[in-house]
Amino acid sequence: MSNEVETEETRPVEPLTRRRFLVANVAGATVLATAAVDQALAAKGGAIEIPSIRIPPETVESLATAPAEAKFEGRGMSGAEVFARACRLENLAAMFCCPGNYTVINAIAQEGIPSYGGRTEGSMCAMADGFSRATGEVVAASGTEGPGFAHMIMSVAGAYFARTPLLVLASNMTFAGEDREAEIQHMLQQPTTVGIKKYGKRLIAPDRVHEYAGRAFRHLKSGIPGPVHIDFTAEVSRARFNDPGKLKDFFSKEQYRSDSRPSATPREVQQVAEMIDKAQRPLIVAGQGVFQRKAWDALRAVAEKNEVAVVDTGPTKGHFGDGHRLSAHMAFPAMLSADLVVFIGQYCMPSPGEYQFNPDVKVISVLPVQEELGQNWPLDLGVVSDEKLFLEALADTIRVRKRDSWVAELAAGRAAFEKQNVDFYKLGLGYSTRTNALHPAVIGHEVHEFFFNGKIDPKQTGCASGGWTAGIWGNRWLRAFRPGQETVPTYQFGIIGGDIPQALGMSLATQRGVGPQAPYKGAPVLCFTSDSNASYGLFELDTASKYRIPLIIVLYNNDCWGTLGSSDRVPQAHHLHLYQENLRYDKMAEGLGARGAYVRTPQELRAALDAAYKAAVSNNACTLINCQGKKEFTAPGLFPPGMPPMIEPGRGALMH
Amino acid sequence: MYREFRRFLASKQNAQTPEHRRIDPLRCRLVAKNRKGNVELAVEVLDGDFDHGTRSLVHVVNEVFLVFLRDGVYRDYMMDVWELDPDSDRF
Repeated sequence: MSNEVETEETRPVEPLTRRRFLVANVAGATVLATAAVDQALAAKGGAIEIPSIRIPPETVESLATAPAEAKFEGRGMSGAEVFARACRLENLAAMFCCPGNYTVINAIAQEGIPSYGGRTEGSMCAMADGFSRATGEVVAASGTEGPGFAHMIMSVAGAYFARTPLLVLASNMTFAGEDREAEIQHMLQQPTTVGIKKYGKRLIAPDRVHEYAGRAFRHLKSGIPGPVHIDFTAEVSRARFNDPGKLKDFFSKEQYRSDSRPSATPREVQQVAEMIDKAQRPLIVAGQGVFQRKAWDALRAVAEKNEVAVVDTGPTKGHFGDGHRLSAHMAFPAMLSADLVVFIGQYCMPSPGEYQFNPDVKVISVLPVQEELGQNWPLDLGVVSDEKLFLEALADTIRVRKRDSWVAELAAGRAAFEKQNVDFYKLGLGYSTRTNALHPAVIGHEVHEFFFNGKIDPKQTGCASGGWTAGIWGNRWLRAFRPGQETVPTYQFGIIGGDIPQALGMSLATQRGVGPQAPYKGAPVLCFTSDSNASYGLFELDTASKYRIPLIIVLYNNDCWGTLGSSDRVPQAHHLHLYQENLRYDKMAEGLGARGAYVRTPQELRAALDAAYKAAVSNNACTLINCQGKKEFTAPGLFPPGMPPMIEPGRGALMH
Repeated sequence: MYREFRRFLASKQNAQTPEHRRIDPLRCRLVAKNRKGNVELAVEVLDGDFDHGTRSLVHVVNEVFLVFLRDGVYRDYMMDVWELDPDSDRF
């Protein structure tokens, strides 16, 4: 571990501190941090003070400023303010942005909607996604016209395939100037989000701005969620209104949308109850619809009443809980025994052969929209219903039943998974001892022991994992014992680099205690990620430090992309997958105001986790622990098995 | 790999596999042959119930893909023989 970590308990934020560096007595001299250069400069004599990293007082003041309500009287309300007001009345949970789309983001912040500004649009959009995945709430992400919006695309796509209710906001230059290329940054945005949005509209009629806010929230809060993309031409965002009568469809939310939900008929519920009762080994696949509709209590009631196994799927885990005796989330062999599977709220449907089920399994699917039923997997029964209403009705209908042998098979399946993990750990420990580098199985084990099997309440720590090598190895040791405890940043789209920003979004939700995070309000969050993914999101450690977000990042550093194995037999291409070795991501973290630690042994990792946790709890500090690994660990010929098996559905699944 | 494959097949017929997934040795028998690297898997029906025998074989083949070949050591095999994308998670 580096000296800095051993000696620096917490990162100072307020009041300011200063460190002295000796540099040349030339005004405006370049600041250099390496010891060698310091020595050379010291020889020349003289000293100036280099200020410490600090949060500007203006940020603190800005965050403490009370919301202000725009009014139709006097100067009137801008189009942006009309839209922002609708967002507040719809309880938009948060807005994440990079500056740009100024009139809209300023109006949203002014309304009092929690707003966060960061370093890149892509990461801030991922942060919004992470916030929503951890809470199920509608969030917004904003970027400037053209470049900023283009940067958001990967994260918008990630949100689309995760069915996140994400409001994508982006500005545009004037509609009038577009085909003259007047000024800069013109771009037709809507075609860019074709295929990755639920609904989108470029706003060109100022008087319809409230109508489109209504349309946006109608799509965000109904059926199967997905991103809604609204781009504001300057004519709309800057328009002024003194009279609400000039706005089309200026209705309240109770008038422009309905909270009515589809529900199954009593006959359909009875039919499902009978099919479950007739089955020997029934299994519920609780998709993200169960989480988003907050139906976990009803799910548990159904499962426990009839002893039905449950595996939770989707970009969020924990709505059933890994610790439950009926959980199949880690009982992989047992899933092959299921003779009836009930998909509930499974928005991204697998095809037969993708899930570890037997070919004779009978299938029921329950979704809130009819058009998705029967997609990809032939059904024995399809039911249109809101997930929560369905599960509540089923809990009332299904009879009490015991299934001792099925429960025992689930327990045996979970035990087999845990044993396999222990075997991997022992193998990895041997590799680590031999090479003086941390094998990902060893990192996973240490993380597990610290957060899920030690002094900390195992239900407390929210977690997210990603990266190819790190995500696949690391996820085996994470646990989700409660709703929203775990998110899967790479879910389905395989977004690259979303881990750190998504975990930051999750951490912000935990800081504020939003929705299912309320019982653990303020607790630190864990992100298990890789050097490759750090390429994209690391700069947001500035954002983490600015907003005092206590995220603990365990970064597996194996000096390469996880794709390295694909060039095993093409030596000419090998260099494409490699980085410089022994890069110091921990130093980069320190340079951005976070804490850093560098570790090569399990003992060092344990100490770093302990210090990181204490700093997170006591000072809301963010820490990055750089775990030096070895690229050869993923080569099955040298360090078998190279990679662990990946099975769907259940722990470690990245898809569906 | 073939040795491990045979071990996997044997596990389908032993008592550690739950009864409802087990190949009943009184009803049918799995037969694997290796002809210069090309592996053949067949089922020998012992009780005349060819429907049951065929279903049993289909279940075993299903598990070959969903369990046996998911082991990380067969990653290259999956890419070479089954042309799976390196980014696929089916390893």
